[in-house]
Amino acid sequence: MERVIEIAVNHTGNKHREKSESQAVYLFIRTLRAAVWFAAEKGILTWILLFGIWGIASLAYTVDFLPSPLETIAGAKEIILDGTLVRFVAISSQRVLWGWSLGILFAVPAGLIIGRLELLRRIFEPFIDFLRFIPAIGFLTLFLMWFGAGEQSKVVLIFYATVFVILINTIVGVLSIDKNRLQAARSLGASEFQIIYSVLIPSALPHVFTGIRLGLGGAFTSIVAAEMLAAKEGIGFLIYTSRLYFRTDWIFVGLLTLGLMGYVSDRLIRAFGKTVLGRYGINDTRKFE
Amino acid sequence: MSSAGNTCIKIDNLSKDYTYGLKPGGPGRNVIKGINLEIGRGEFHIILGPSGCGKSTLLNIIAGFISKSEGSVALNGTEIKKPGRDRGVVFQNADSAIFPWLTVRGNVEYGLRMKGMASGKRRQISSEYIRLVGLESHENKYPGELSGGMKQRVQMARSLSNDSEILIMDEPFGALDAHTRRIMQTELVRIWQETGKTIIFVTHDITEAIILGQRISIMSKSPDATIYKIYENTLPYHRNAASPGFSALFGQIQGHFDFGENI
Repeated sequence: MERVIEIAVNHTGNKHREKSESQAVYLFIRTLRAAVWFAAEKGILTWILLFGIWGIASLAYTVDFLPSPLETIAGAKEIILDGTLVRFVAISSQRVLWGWSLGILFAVPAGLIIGRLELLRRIFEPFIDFLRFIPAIGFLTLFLMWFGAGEQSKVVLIFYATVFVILINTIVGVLSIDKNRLQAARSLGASEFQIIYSVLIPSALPHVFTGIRLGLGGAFTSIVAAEMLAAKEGIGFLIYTSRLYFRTDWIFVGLLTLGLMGYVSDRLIRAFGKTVLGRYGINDTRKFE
Repeated sequence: MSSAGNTCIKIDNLSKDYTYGLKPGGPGRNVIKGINLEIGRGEFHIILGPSGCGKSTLLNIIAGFISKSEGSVALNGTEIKKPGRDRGVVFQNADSAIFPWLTVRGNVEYGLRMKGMASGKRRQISSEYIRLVGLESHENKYPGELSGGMKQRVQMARSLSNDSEILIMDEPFGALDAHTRRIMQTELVRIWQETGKTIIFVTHDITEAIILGQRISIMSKSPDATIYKIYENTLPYHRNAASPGFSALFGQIQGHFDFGENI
């Protein structure tokens, strides 16, 4: 009798333990899956993967050829602490911001006018389509000659690099306005001048905004090239001169900083677009259901 | 004309040809040809015809969006040359015609704002017409939040608040589901009766034409489309599609389409 009870107790005990074990495994798997999804959604997984591959690859090479993530962080710490990195970021950002702002100020109104007036479009479109294929960096020597080695030549270069993409997008924005919308405005008594600010600009805004975002990408590309060739400061200068000191880690710091600067500024522009200009149809969270 | 004072729109021998190529008088074709029509003040006039018969061409000329080739179209004796606030237009595709960045109220006030009216007065007028078309409580919504029928109500209120004399409507209920279309037809009759506006309404739906119109102009096929026949519709509003008078008129009109007769 005692034995039977013992067996019974053991049996249920085992069963209970088995059950709680499988529950724990299940819970663990579920938690892990949720964590992986969370990390993927927040972009953390991407970074883990990137740094993982980079770290493993760096094991096979010397610091001079391919520094590891940790060595790069150490290198970054060095130039962060002596203030160089912050200063270079500020200088490069300033150049980008000036050239890009001037590009917007010129290209948006010009695009609106060119898009609206067919004659101007016929005149300028071939010109635009010719010039935009000459990369900004091709003009560097010319701009250095014309505007000197100072800030001016770099700002002009960025201006050139941003202007076409904004111009073309603005023109497309104006051209893609639905005919009915203009007809409706005219039937409601709007003058051609009133139509410009009350229909043309709001309708073209999503395209203009895309142009502005793309323009910033062009600005970053060109500023680095320009700073590599003709500057004493800036992120491009950092990347170029680190080679001379065999500081490959600093090259990586420069590259990562550039990516981060672009990423952060694009996020800022998008947030601005979504909150301030959302009602004009700027929308980057569309789900294709 | 004895009723000259009551004529709102007078169309005389109107033709429109789209000339291909640059040579005037070169190969082209008349979309509409020799149209004569008088529309009285406060009349609900239907232009009925098959697709591609030039109804929209006629409408676009009255609205002032396109030029005519021959003849004349006059509003209160003045030749129509370009669009104006005296002729409000309700487009078939509301999504392309209303301003998506403005709220319902913003859309309804658009014409008044362009006129330079003070905001207090604007608000008062827009509230009145938002109520008339049944959009009260939706005035702060953006068009993206509205249904198809509501968007057409916005278009109507927008033209009415601007005090246009005529409402030009180009198959405005064509894209709506059958149930909403019925409601909108009833609503339009009510709005027309309350405001006394002249309405020119284009459709290819015979039932819709009979439900709405006082007079129904039937257009023949393009090229050289013209107004083939005008029916007077004296059935009392609100019209019942099952009534004998309705069926009789429907049969007569349907006959033109069935037996060809160049329609």
